[in-house]
Amino acid sequence: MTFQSLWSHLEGYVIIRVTGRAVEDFINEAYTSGVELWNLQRIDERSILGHVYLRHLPELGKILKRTDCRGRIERKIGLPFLMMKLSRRKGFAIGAILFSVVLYLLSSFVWFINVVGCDKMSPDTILEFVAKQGVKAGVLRREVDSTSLGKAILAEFTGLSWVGVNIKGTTVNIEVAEKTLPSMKSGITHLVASEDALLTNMIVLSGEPLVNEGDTVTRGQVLITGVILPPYGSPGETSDKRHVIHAKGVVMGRVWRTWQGFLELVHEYETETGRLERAGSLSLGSHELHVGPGRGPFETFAEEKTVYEVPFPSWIRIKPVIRITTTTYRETERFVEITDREEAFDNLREKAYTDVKSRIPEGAKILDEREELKYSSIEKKWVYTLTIETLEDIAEERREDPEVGH
Amino acid sequence: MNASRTKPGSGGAKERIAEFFELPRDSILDVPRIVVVGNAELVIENHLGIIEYASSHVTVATAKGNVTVRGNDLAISSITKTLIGIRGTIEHLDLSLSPG
Repeated sequence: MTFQSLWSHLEGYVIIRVTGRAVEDFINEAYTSGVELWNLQRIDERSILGHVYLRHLPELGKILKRTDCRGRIERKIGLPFLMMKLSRRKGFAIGAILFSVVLYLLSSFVWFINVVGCDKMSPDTILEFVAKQGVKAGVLRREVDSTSLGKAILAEFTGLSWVGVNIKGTTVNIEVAEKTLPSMKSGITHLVASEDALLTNMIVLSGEPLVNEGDTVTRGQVLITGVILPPYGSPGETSDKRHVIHAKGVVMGRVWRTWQGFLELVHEYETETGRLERAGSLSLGSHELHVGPGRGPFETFAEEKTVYEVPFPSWIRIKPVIRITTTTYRETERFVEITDREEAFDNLREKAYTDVKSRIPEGAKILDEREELKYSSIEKKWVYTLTIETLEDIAEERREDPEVGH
Repeated sequence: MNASRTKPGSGGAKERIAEFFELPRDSILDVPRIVVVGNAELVIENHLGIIEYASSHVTVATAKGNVTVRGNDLAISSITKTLIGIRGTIEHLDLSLSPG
């Protein structure tokens, strides 16, 4: 929209149809008496269409009379006409204004309160507290002081380390960070072996060691216990008097991890050829309607069945069982692959190494790697064994509830 | 200009002044100034009114005679005391003006 057309919209203009024997006279009369005409178009031999400003209409009427032409307003365009329409439809105008006012008023209230970041605590307890402080749905926005509210929440709940309150639109967002308290307060924590190992050395920081350096331990065996019994013979030698602590320590041990596999040169496997057939059936009770091949259409194939039971709304009493079964048959082909001995061995080694290495935890020190290829007369196959020996901290924490403890 | 040189004294005093000072004629005389933009737009300055308007032709009066524009779908985009703007497909421009 150009500036000119914007201006003419503001001023208001009409599209007028002028009919007469000498329309040209009308045009000449109009511009000489200062009436602006634009976008004149010939409609037929006797009439033209033209645009005229609203303010020129009274003058135009006189010119029409003088030049013996008739004018008819075809369209009214612009703001003045819009206003006229609006003033005629007062109810609508009032409604529009009322709507804006109500929207403005409603937007100055708080309607929603969100609590974010609650893990252990229930957001409802915070909402309850906040409501007691006077922040709830329906409160004026400017009555909510976000900083003091945040401080109040922080003071009320000891389990929180940080509280942020911000108001966005009609929503109060309360962001909360909970303190993460150490979990050693209650219960016994033992250190147990994470793997079968041979202990090399051991540093006990707290707790009672149950094993010695040089011992062989099995996975899950308690290495350092968190239960300290009073010394033998002391007066309080009952289970009630036992001292419960969080066992801590470093237990280094040698761990052997192995992987075993057969060296096979002949592989048989199946692949899909891509050809497939579909069959479907619709069954109602014992009646069945079957479409497609009945049984396996290929020599070798894989079968895939999906059964869909048509559900019925709960208000239908007698429920007929309608099942739609679709079966997909995929043709398969058997392949036999003979690999080169060297290649097969390399593949096996790679598999062994990736498998064993993935089981070694971070920080473990590799002491030794041993490979072995032996012919097994029972299996009549070559057996490959990889053993990796590591030195690592095998202590693993295990918590125990005090009630269950011994 | 050549015409006035071969026939001295044929124009009025105004014309001679215009020639002497090398002024554009349309600024002093009532000679129409016609600007054609492509074949879609035409502006006539110094006009004296419309004689005939149809969608196929528009005849405009000027001090030196009539200017007739022929074409298709001709519309008068604006008309004021100083100029007339014509839009449409202009095919022919007839300047049956008197000499000078």
